[in-house]
Amino acid sequence: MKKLSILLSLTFMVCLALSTQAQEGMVGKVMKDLPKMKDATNGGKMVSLASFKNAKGFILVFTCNHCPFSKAYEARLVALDEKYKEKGYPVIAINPNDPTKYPSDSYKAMIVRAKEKGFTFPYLVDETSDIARDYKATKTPHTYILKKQGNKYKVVYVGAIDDSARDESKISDKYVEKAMADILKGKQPSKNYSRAVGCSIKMRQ
Amino acid sequence: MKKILFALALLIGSFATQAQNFKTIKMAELEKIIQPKDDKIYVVNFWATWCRPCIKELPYFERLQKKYADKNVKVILLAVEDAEQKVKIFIKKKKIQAQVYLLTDAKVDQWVPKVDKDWDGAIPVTLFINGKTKKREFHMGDMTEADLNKKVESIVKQTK
Repeated sequence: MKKLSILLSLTFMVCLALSTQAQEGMVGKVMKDLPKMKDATNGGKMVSLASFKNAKGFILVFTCNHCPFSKAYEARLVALDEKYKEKGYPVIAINPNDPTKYPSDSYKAMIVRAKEKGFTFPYLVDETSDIARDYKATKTPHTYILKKQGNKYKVVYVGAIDDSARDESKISDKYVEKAMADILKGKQPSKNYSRAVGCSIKMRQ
Repeated sequence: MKKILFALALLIGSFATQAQNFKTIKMAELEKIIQPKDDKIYVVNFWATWCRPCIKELPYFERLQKKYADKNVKVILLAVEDAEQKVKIFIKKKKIQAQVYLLTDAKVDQWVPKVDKDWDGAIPVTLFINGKTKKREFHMGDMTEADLNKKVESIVKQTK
């Protein structure tokens, strides 16, 4: 009976832990490499994080074609990639949405969009939406800064890119750039979690 | 031609501003809305004109408001948007009857955790508040009309 109650309370604690701070809880997590995914900017070449031999880390962004918030950030993603790629932190974009729910999120549409917007970074297809599940991503765009540790990747920042998604003129806090400035100085980001309103990810079932 | 367009825009604008059920609010008012003092049941849905699953749900909330109007249920559609005019034109066009609020100040990173500490900002989401028991339930993601009605029905039963 005692065992049962311990078990029950443990289960309860686990549930509690799962239900609170799902995304915040990702900060500090050490993730293994991503499976190889199809890159819409590179003729479908299969890439994972390990494909980037010189990277010290990544600015991983779950994004998509259809979401107005994602669209609003396209140019800013290119700017981030151009700024941080040479410092060892390239942008990697991943589309986890189910194209049967949003046809404009299909692989073909991704190729077109990436070309139109001049993506300088890979735009990968999360064919099962499992990457988004692993990272507990819920919306687009949803950003994770990863720091390479051997063949593992530590999550050091989760959240928004800045604090004004749809109106660039109103940005007062550039979360990702601030976090990157800390990281490049060898420090932990002083703010490692932020929120923004975005489009719910439509996971593949 | 330009003049006609301008007149039309003015006309649309004036119609839109006549909407009785639309109001812009500040952070302090949002906090009051999500912490009601009376014993009504509040259904607060966070939506935007750009969010397709949200738009799909809106008629459910409209019908819910009509169906439960005499049962002390209050539906609030809280728009998360930059452009006030867009929201006004939208609710006019779709003939939205429920109360629509648009939060105008406050940074997302500040008000989102106040609504629910587990919410990371993805919409749609719906907050159910039982004014009598002060119990709050937060539903992330879209809902079917049946699930929405079931949820409200269960809260109505709790208050009896």
